[in-house]
Amino acid sequence: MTFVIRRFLVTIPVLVLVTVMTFSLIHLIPGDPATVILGQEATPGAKAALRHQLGLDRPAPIQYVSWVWGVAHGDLGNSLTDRTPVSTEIIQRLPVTVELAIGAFLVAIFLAIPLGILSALNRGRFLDYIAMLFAFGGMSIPPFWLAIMFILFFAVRLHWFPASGYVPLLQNPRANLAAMAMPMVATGIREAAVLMRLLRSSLLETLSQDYIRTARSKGIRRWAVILKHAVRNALIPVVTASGLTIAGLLGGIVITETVFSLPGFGRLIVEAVYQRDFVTVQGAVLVSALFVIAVNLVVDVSYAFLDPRIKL
Amino acid sequence: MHASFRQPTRILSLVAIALTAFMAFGTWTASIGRMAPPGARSNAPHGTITISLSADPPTLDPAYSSSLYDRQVLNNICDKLFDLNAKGKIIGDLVTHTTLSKNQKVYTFTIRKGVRFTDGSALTATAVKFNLDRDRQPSSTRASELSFVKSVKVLGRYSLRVTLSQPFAPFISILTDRSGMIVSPKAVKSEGDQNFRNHPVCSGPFMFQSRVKGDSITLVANPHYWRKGEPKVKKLIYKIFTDPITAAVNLQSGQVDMTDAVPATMLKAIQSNSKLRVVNKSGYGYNGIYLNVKAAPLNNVNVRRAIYWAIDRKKITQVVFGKTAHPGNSPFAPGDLAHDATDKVPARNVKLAKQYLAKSHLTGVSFSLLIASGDPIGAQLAQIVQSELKQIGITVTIQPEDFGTLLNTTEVTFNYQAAALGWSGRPDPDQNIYSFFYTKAALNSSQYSNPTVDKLLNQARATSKASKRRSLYDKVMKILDNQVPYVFIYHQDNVFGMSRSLKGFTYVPDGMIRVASMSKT
Amino acid sequence: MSIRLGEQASESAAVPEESEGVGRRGLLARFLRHRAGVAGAIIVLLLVLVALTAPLFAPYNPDYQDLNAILHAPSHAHVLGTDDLGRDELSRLMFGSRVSLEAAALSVFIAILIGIPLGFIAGYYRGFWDEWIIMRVVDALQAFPFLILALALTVFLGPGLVNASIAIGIGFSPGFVRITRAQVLAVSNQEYVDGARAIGAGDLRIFRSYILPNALAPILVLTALSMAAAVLAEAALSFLGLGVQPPTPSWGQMLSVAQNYITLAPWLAYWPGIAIFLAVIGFNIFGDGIRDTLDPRMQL
Repeated sequence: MTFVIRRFLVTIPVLVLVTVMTFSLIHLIPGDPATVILGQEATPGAKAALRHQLGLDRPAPIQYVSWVWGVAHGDLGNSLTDRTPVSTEIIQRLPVTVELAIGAFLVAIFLAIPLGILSALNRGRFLDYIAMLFAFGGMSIPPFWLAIMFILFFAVRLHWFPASGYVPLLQNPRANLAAMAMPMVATGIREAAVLMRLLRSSLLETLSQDYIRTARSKGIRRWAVILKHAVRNALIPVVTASGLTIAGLLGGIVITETVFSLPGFGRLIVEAVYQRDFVTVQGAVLVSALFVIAVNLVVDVSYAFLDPRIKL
Repeated sequence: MHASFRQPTRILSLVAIALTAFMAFGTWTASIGRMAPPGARSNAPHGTITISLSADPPTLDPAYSSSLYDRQVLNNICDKLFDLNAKGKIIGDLVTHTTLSKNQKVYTFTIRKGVRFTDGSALTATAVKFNLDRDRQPSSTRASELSFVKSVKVLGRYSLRVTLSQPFAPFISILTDRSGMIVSPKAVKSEGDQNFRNHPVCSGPFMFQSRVKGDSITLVANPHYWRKGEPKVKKLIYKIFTDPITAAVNLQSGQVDMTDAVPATMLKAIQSNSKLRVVNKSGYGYNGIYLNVKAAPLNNVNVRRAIYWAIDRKKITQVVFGKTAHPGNSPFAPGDLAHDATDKVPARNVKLAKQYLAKSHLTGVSFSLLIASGDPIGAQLAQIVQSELKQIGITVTIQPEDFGTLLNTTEVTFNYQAAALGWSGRPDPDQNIYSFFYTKAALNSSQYSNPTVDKLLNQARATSKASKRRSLYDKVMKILDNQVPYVFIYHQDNVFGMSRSLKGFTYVPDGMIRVASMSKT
Repeated sequence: MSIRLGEQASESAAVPEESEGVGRRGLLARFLRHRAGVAGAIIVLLLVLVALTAPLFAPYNPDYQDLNAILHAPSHAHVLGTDDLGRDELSRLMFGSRVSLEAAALSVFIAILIGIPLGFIAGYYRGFWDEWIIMRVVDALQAFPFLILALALTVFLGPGLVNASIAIGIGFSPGFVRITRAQVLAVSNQEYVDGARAIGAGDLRIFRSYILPNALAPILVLTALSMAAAVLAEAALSFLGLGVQPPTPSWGQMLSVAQNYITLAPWLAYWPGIAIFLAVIGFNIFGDGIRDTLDPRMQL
């Protein structure tokens, strides 16, 4: 269990630092936050009340501890715009984002695995170049431009999908999938490009290893060899990399939700930014970071279980 | 090796199948866009109407609301003391009988019997008094327009007396809007005064059900509504589209049944669509730019005068709004009783503008202009203004801000220099000018204060003689044209795009969409 | 363990290479043989050229509003059409390259400014400050999804080109920290560094003569790749309205306007996106080419 324990231990300072960084965001505001939020004309009483509400009237360490205490109990503060609890707003928006993330991820694996295998098997030849072009292209295409092009061709010109408008999955699955199809593909393509390159290099490395050559020398048909041994082993680094790409996926989701007007977590952040709702931005940022840390932790620990070479 | 040729083929065929599946899926869902909305067939009280709003209503509470978008929703949740008919004439709604004393200072209202709020409590004269008192509190945005109300007394279960400090011509007109909306006192007490807006309770045709901030508001029919046969639909959904072009696209694809605005560029496309129609009528409102007279460099009156002459009102209106607005230079739209020849729109005068700027003795004049974010039309207008001011040497920075935040900035914090904000307009001229230019009034975003203007405005609202009022307002406008706390640019039409499947819509000049009598075939 | 940018470089550390003259000329020849890398370099050069010469060659002033020519389709007068204020798309596209390059360069500069010194300290001095402070801060920073971090920073710092670049630069610095640290770790393990220290060479000298030349390779690659990512990031922030403010033309912001008019003027949506795409892929392929030239085994 040494590896797992060590991995958990390393996470603790990171968690602390993430909370400290998020907490100090509000202190980046030039000037007095209470004046910025309430205005010059506000009564001193109102400003004092707001400062108390935001926890700005006590020494920093105490503020921090009480803020973390609140967070541990699910209290992320109240939105500055309409006083609803930030945690409620986030939970309300999560289903959309989760659905989009899962869809995008599926699209990504669906594209990345075949193309990655193709490209590694045909290294240096024409198909490899095509696949690599897709990889570079997918990484370089501005995701918001891709989304707009999708809208232009599939919604406006071909009328295959609606340009915007979200319907909850349970309410009307057909309309929901119609609205989510383009966003999922648009987000997934970028992830696919990143994953494809990883799979390709990982597969190339695996294919050159001794135990593969041993298996081939035993005469099993080549495709069985590849599919069974190499891909499984090559997928391990890709799986762990998926943990890393979660952060990138969340970023892509922010853009996609904005372009397609989906009422998800990503768009909540953008709206809170437009509204200068510092409290909501803080809460959402923290949730994102915690989520990324959690996913990475899970992925790393699973990797330890999957790869027999790691001493647990 | 032959296997290597099979490999790519297998995988390529997999990808091809996937692409075909994707396209088939696309065709299958293609009908989504053209699918008739649910409840399209029957005439019974069923179905859902979806209306798009150009901004998320910030405050669904008549006592604290200052946005047109609040009004749209509140008009379908709450009953009012008075209402307007299609011709713009005032009719009773919750008030069934009115008497006015000879000195024009005492109103006696008879309240409609048997009306209940949706939380079960009864709508009595006591409830009306509660609302009027609440609206007169200093923190209410209704306080300025009710400043002449001296006292409100309950005479009987359904009888109320309102005493004014002096005659007040616009009083009944004011009661056709938010000051006349009656909310449930029981709900205010249980939710809390500041929290009521998150779950408003009234007696109107629809009830508030739920809301996703920035996205939608869902209302459901009030089964105990006192008007029999109304509402005609079961559900009313407001969808927020800050971009009127996106809203229009959604109208075309059937995602929404009606839009609260149609950009000039899409007018022809919607009109030529056989499934849709456009209602384009001039309204009472005005639009332009607030100049915060307490914030440098706009505290310098010559800078403000320079801006007044540097703007090309006619060109801007024509380019940005085409047939959906008229250029304007006052709060009084054509058709308003106070509108006359003195409200003529001046031509752009760059030379005069530069002269005033020189008189200000300021160099490097610059300021930031707040606009509502997400609205490309507003952004377009702001950039034209920016360019026109650049030509006389003023640098403008455009700062987009969420609409609700914009209202907060221009009404509460005043942390701004200039803001592009307008007013949806009311039938009575007092309602279009008093709260905006009277010292410390609720909507006086310019923070303008002029005792002469205050006196004239009070005189104008105290008399009901039209000619006298008109001349008083002329005097006010002469001062405002000289002091420029606000740059008037245009009078917007009320333009609605709607599906022809919507029946029962009656246009009322206040621009409110009253859904109670509307149904969908 | 988790694959992170730069960490793998420490597992298969680059063998320190000769930094003398003969090697350099050989390197250039090697680079020129790498066709993709050359293509990338050409694109980057073209981009810089357009940015530098835009004031000379642009047909119109990018701010000039011809209010009678709003949303015109491509024509003889306006080769790529006009936007919602009658401004020439082509001119705005050309001037937009200046913004993209400026913002990207500033961002990467800030990332390097923060990242390399920290990476050096972490790798060279080791111990508590290395493992538990600097690297954990880097871990924490990378836990925030990049765009979300940039968005949050613009709320608190305010919009604009400089603030957006600062936000992006902070977001990119962890990569530079890791790369520098990895290289420092690799090199300082070599015997000749011990030898140099034995004869009295100071830390700064060791950094300059031994570590820096060998760390240069991965840093150069990461710089090129970061330029690509920075162009994309600035475009994303401007698309959301949080980067460059009007009337300054920025490709991201032009796309945002184009989306509004997608049914009325679809041509506005093509070119800014293609421009961003070319800039990004140019830097990406260029960086890839540098990597293949200097050390194909480098995992970045």
